[in-house]
Amino acid sequence: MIGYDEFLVKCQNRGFDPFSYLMPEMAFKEIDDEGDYLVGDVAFYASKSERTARRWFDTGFLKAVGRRPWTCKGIDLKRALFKEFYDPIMSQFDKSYKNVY
Amino acid sequence: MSVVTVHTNIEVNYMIAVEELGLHVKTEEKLKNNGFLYAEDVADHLVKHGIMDFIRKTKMQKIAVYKQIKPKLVLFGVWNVPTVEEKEAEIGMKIISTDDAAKMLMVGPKTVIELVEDGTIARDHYFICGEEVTAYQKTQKYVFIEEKVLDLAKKYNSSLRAIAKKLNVDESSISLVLKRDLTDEEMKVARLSAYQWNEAWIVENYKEIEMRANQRLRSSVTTYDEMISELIELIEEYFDFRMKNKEIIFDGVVYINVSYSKDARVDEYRRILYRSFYKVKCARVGIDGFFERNGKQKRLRSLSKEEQEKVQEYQLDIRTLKAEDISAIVSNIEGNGKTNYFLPLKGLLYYVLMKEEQKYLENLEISLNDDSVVFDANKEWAKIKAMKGRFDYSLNHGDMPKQRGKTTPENRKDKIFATRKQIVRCNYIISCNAIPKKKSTSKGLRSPIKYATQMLIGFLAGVRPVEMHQMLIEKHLDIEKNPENPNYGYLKKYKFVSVGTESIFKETNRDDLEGWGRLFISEEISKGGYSPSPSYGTLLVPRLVDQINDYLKWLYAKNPESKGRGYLFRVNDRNPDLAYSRPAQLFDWLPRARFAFDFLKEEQIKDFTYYETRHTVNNLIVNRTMVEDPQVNERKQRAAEMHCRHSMEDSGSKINIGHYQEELPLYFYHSVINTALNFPFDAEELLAWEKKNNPVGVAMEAAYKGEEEILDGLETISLNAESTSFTEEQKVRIAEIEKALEELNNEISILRTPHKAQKLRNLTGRERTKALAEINQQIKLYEQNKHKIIRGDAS
Repeated sequence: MIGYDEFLVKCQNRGFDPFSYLMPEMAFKEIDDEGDYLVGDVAFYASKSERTARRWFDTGFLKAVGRRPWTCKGIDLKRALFKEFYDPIMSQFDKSYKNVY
Repeated sequence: MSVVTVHTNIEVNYMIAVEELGLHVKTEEKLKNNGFLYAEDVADHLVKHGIMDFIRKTKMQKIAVYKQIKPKLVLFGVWNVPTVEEKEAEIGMKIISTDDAAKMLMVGPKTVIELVEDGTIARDHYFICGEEVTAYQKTQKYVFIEEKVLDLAKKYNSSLRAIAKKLNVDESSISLVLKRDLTDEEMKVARLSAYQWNEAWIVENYKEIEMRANQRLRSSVTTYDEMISELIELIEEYFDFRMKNKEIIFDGVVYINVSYSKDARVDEYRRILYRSFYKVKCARVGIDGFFERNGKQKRLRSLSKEEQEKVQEYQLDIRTLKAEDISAIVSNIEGNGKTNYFLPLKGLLYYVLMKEEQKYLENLEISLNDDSVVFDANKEWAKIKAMKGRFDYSLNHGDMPKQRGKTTPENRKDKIFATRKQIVRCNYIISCNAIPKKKSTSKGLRSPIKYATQMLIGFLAGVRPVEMHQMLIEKHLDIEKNPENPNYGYLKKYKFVSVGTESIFKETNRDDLEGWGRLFISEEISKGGYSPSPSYGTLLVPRLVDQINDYLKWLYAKNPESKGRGYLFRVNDRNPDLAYSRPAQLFDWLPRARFAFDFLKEEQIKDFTYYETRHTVNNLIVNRTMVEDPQVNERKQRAAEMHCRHSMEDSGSKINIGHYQEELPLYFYHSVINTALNFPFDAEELLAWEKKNNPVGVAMEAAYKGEEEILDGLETISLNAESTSFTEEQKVRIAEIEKALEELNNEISILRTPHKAQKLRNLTGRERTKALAEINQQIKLYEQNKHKIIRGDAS
């Protein structure tokens, strides 16, 4: 499992466009790295329920900046989304990687 | 009247009539009505065509046949062939029909019959119906023994795919090899059907079978050993002499003063000499046209038996070599290939002269000491001199040039010194396989990761092809050798800890993006044995270490058992023990790919070889970096020599200055390489990096060559509104944009925190995030415009 930051570096090194692999595309394009996001936003971008988003905050899957209400930064949200959707993203990446290599 | 008696041999076949059998009347009638007059006919029909057919024909019952007819036939000795049950009792093993056998072998029944007729199924596995066993049906041909069929099924029990996996070979290649190189008989041993193969036999013998193709191909390049058997001793003696001794002296003059180094291509020279004397012999014996044209080439044709005998019988004495012989040697070669023949021949001829001289001197001494021996010293010496004159004349006037044509300024090859930007572009083109395909069926590069690794090793570590084709993973790369470590088989990474001017290695993780690696090029594989790596190894930049690790990962996936060992670059990526046979073969792909290098000019593309990477490295370190520390800057040249492993003994190198003969301390070496070769691969970052580390070089080159792209990046992107380089218009526009940006930044800081957004703008949830995204886009657009204005583009 690699992280979101490592993935970006890899793409840059190979000359790929990260947005062609990242999903959900809208989330990765719209999220502001330094903005604060609440449970409702997390649930919207990840297409999950609010219960799941709250669970993510609880267990530490999403790094929280404050409670009451639960908030996280945009970059952390992107990292968590990358973890959640790791399999489809990396399988696409590996396929094209293998075709090229 | 004489009576002629004719004796004829009439064998009276006493056929037993049906009436004699003593059957019931009705059975007799039925038999007679259906054409069975004799007992033998009945027996034949029953044995060959089967009981069912008989019953259908005569409309009798089975019981009648078995209980009435059969015992009588057996009594009378006509039915000799046992039935299936009787045979079973006889052998003690169960007998099955073809259909059952086919099911066991997982094959159709028709193929079973084909296999029997081929001979794949051995004779003792089956019985022929009608001869050894009675048939049950008309169409039955063979009947099988169950045990033996089961053994067969166990023998041919696997598919080609499984065998290919076990041998670690391509599926398509294994089928190709087997179909092409197995004889018919071996094929029967190996294959039962398309899906049933004999695994044990194939696995045992596969290597031999592979070698057959090589032998077949190589046998086309013969050395004609048999044709020149009388000369082989002399030639081998000559090669031995050249390997050990330096000089060939004749008459006090040194004609050849170099010995063959270990890199010398003795096999090639041997081949040259054998073939040339074969041609001489052919010409002398009088064989017309011992070569034939094959398109553009002239090849040596195969001779008929008589001609071969002629050539073998004729004994050639090298001392009688003439000019016509030399022209015969060169007759089927065109162009620059002739120059390959000059030096080996000259060496051999002068060796022969040297030996003649020795003999002459020995005989001379004997004759002086012994009066009875007649020896005319002047005449013998004149003979030798005449021989030498003849050799010289034929070598110099026999249409065999000594050297290739000199390089004129027109056809001289310019060295290509690439810039860092071009290195990045080259790497991108190869690794993304962005090579336009010339034909619709071509696929581009075969394994881009391998070729990209080769080029990067050349650009960033300066390894020669001679060394690269012998590099072993376990010996020459600094890999993790502990099998329990998760990074087993990959390059180790180090960080540098420096105290003053001393620095030491410190190991780090494999995931560290700034870890360095090491290569060790030992003396054996280095060029000429004089250019090994320094004691702490040749340093590898982090970017190259990651590339090599990725390549190793791809390589180990092809053959997981050979992790951590084998050649680094292999002919067949699955076989770790197959190196390339010549260094030039590593880069066979380059002529096909270099037409896509759009960072080179057209004239440069034709001349681009792998060796340009070594020129680039040296040039980059020495001429295109500026280190801030002056102490380190002085030692740039020495560091470049150590990195590229130039030889200090080269005649003509002007490097004999100052403190270069010692190994540089690691600190200096590392800092030079860090500033020279540790550059980022992103276009914008690279520009910024170059401005910092190579400002003079960049500006000079750009001004000299008029390259505007590089000049662009040299302009500063500072926000000094008072700078005089901006026009009034530009200043106004920049001021407008900055104002707008300020407002937007304020807005975005409100939207970023949810409670503020709710209070001040009354936006929550999805509306807030939408607004955030829109504002981000606007900010990006404004900033792009600002950059454009600063650079002077018309907006």
